Amino acid sequence: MPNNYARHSPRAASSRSLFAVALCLLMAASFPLTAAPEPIAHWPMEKIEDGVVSDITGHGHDATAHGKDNELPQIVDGITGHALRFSAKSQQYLQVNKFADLAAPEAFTIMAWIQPLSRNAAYEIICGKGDRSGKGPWPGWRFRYFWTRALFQFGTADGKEPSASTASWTVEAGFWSHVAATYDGKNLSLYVNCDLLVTREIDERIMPSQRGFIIANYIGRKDAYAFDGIIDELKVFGKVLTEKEIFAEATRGMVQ
Amino acid sequence: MPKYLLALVLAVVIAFPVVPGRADPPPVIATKAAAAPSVDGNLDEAMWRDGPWYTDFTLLGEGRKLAEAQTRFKVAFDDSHLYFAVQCFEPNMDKLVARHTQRDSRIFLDDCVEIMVDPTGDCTEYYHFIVNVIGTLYDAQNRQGGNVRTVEWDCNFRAATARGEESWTVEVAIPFVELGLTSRSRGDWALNVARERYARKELSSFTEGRGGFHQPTLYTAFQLPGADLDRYMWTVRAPFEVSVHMEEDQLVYSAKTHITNDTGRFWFVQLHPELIVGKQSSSGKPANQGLDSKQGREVPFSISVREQGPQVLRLRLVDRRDPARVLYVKSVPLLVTYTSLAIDITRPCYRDCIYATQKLDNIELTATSALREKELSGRWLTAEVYMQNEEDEADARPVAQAKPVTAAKQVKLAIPAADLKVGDYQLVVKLVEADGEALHTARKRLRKLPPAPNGHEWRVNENNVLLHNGESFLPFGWFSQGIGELDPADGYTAMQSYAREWFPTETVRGWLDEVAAKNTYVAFPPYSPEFMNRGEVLKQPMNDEERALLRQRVSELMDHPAVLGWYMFDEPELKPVLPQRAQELYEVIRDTDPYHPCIMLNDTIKGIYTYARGGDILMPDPYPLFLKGDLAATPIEKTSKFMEAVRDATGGRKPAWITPQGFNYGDYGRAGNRCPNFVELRNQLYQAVVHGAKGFLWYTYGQIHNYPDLKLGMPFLAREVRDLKAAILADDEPEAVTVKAPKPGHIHAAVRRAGGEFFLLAVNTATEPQEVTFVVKGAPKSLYVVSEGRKVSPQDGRFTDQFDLYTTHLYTTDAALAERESLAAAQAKIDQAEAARKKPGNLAFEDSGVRVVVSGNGSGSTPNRVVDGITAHMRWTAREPGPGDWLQLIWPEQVQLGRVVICTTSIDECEIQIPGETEDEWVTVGKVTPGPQPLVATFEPLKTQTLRIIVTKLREGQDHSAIQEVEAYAK
Repeated sequence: MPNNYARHSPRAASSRSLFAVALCLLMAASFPLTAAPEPIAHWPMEKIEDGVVSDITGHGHDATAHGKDNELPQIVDGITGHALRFSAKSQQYLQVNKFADLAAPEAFTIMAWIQPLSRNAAYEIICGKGDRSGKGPWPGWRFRYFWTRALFQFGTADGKEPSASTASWTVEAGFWSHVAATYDGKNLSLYVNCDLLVTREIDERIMPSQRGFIIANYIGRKDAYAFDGIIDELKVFGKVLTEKEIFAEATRGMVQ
Repeated sequence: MPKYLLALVLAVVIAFPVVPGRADPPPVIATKAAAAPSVDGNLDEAMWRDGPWYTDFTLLGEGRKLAEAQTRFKVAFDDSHLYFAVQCFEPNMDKLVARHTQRDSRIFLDDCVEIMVDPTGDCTEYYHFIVNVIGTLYDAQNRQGGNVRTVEWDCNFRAATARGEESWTVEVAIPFVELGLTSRSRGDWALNVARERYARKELSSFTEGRGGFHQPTLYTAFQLPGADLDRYMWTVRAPFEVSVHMEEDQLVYSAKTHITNDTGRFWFVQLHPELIVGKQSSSGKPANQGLDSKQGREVPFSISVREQGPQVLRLRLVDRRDPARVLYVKSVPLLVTYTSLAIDITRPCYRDCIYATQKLDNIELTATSALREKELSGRWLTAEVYMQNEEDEADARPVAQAKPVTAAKQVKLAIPAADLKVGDYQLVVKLVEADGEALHTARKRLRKLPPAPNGHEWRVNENNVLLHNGESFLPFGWFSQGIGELDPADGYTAMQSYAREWFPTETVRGWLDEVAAKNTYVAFPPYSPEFMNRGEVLKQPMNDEERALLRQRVSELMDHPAVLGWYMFDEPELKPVLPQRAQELYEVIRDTDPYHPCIMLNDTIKGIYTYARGGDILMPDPYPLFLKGDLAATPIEKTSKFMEAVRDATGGRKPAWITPQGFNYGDYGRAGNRCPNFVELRNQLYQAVVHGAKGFLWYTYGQIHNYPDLKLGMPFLAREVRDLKAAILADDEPEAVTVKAPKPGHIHAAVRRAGGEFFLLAVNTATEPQEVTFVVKGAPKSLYVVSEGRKVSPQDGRFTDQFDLYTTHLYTTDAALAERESLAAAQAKIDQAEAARKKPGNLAFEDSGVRVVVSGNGSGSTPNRVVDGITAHMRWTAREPGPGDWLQLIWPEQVQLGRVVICTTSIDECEIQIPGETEDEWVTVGKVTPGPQPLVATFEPLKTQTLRIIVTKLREGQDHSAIQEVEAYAK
């Protein structure tokens, strides 16, 4: 399997020349290198090719783009390179075809650059896995934007629905914000612009969902909780990243 | 346009024709530097080989006339700095003056280069950098078009100088990050480079300087093609919601700022707050922010306070990815003070004294606590009044007390005072536990006074009006009024006088008797020959001996009926006076003499804030500096800005008086200046009135006889103010008038009601006429226009009127005011007197372009006034005693002369000379011998461009040559 994410890795870049390899070895001998965490999935949202948005990690989580009347998300300027502009009115979204390993890892980090179009009183889903239909329990999780806040919510086997939300006005409509959520089975944390804003102690397990992984919309109805705005550099990691690591990931590729 | 304005314009055009010289300066274009210069003062680096030199500096106040010693400069930039290379050519390198070595001292009195950079080109805010010839630095932030200056602003700029054989050079590096760039900085900036030369006094600049260098509207366009400055474009607001409080025994300054990203893209930033006192600083925790383009956010911060007092808050915005990369710096001078519990007595409003003419049922006060909410919770505030020095006694009982109230950050309390007897009291406010135990106590002296012993009680009421024995008093008069010339018919009610500290008490009392005989009142310095309050002591706190001497002098004079008040300081910020000393002086007088107010005069807005505690009445002197052939060096609305500053600095709790400009600064050597005309005098006056002024002491009486606008115009204004006294002393009706005009911000208007009459006062400060529509709540259907003999008729509260340049209109329902003397008639008298100054055939009259050059000037000498057609008063006075001094008249071209008339009170004999064939030779063509005034010399008509009067004999009893007027005729 080709590892496309390696093209973006500093380690891979440094291997382009023998000199660089030698330098790395020398540095590694002098200072222990801390490897950048590798995501399980990373959608840079640079383009839609044959209706597909690529996961560049090489783990095969490519996503199919959808929209009402085949109107697909628009490619616009992003925080780095391009990004995808999702229209709620056109019920646009990305459906990840291979999703089993994104179900509910015991520890994970989800992050993205988002630019919501407006302050919407409805929940707008940045990404999520599993639905919330019926009486519950509701397997899966949802990462949301709601009225200038970021919010993460998941379902447990005993029907609970723990969540954490940042305060109002932490995620302003019309502006780029970097949002990240981490969970290790004990602490659920939310970061906005790489600042830890909320940590909740939640000693629960996410109930795994067999349903699909959707970006910018709900797994069920597509006219209710669609994200209206721009998403860029959506990444999922199979571990809890530190604030420093989140900052490094958020700024990777940004203009200095 | 009224006739008087047309006459003014014509007079200006005739009197000051454009002198040929340099054309308008071109835009200055900076070049991109490949590498940063070493900033060593030498301009031999490769980067300075590129780009054009900018030169042709013109003389300050002399239009486009080129400076004798030229200056040239280049500008370059890189990603982080703006670089200047300046070369000052100097034929007298051995005479360079450099005395100042301390940063931000008066280095502009040395040979120096000045750079003014306006990074938005909006001509309101700019940065001022000076480097003297020995590399001493000065920097300041200038705002409001140069009206407000913050010298405490310190920029991390570097400069170095070097000396050559024929020139000295300066190299300057200014970091962009210090310049407060905004999105407007993407367009043209504005720039001026100036030079002060003292090897031979010559002030010159790249852009034309009309009265000073601080005229940003005249600066040239400044461009930095290819500069990538976006990352420096942030808006960081001055701190707000400030709190100084204790946190676990540590004093903490906390506040918020608001940061807006104008860079055009997202940035991760950190705000680093820092308090700096001298060379020491304390830092707060950096605050992380991610801000998208155009996004703004409040950012709270806290810093531990090392010590209370004046300090600088520095807010540094850095790149969070590389904290060494600074994106923006904002420095804010501030005063950090902490009081756990503070008392502010709001009634009585003045000096914490209840006066005999004052009826007061309750003493009202505000108690403010800096404690945190949790420290106040469940506690109470009490307020009690004790006889002075009795509170600490075990059996002391309060003579009056307030009902206790629940403690909070700010609490109002009222103490019944109707039965309080005359006496000296102590007001005690306590924060107490529920069981009565006092945790914090604040004390303040409170006095109930007997009637003034001399029958003259002066105090200020809640509306900031001065009261004389309980009746409102409107002071209007002059600085240094000649008592002998004081005519009650002129309408003046008060005066100021300098220099009484030189005279013993008895002499001053004799002089006060003369003032009293004229039925007027005077404010003068409270100092004495034993305690002059001058020199180095001004930088020190007061000592006990000074306190005793001040008390003694005030006690010896305070009973005199002519005393209006104590003139505390004249522009203390320029000395500078230690602010603590100013406050101590005030407190000594306040405690010694409760019956006369203390008056503080400031020259700057910063000075108003700094010395606001040094007086009861703040009386700034915002001179617009009127220019020959032009309007003013600073916007005429400077008057309004200073009045607003008094209100802001005191929270509206102290009266604003004003010392407007009633003189020609040109007579004090400021080139290119003139006296304000009648329209400008009235404009300054009513601008101040609209912005709340309740007293007017004009500077200065000494020039009144030489300017008809002053001599005839000021008594008119004094009488007009007397007639409008009730309206001037009344408070504004809030939001009663709306203005619609091309430049509505330049129409200063206020609605007042007094004595049952309606008043709308309106002044135009725009530099052009305006048609103005007023919409007035509750406006009567017909209004008289005061002193103009006309009426306007509002329809549904709306009417439109024409405002010519700087015009004032006063509208009222008071028919009596419609009948008063007419403005047009007053202007006609002034015009007539103006025209009469020029005698037929007088070739030496000032409009001929004749220049006056003298051998030397003594104190108060005004040589330019010897050709103004006024044969008395202002004069040339020689610097040295005895005969031998001379005065020259130099015409632009040859004139035919046969008779010279000299008005003098000190000369018996003199000779009339013209240049001989060699440079130093003078040929006597006529002689003046003792005789009746004026002295006349006639001689065979001759043609000459220069004529010299050399004094050969003084009159008996005279020791200095002096000439009041010279006239020259063809025959």
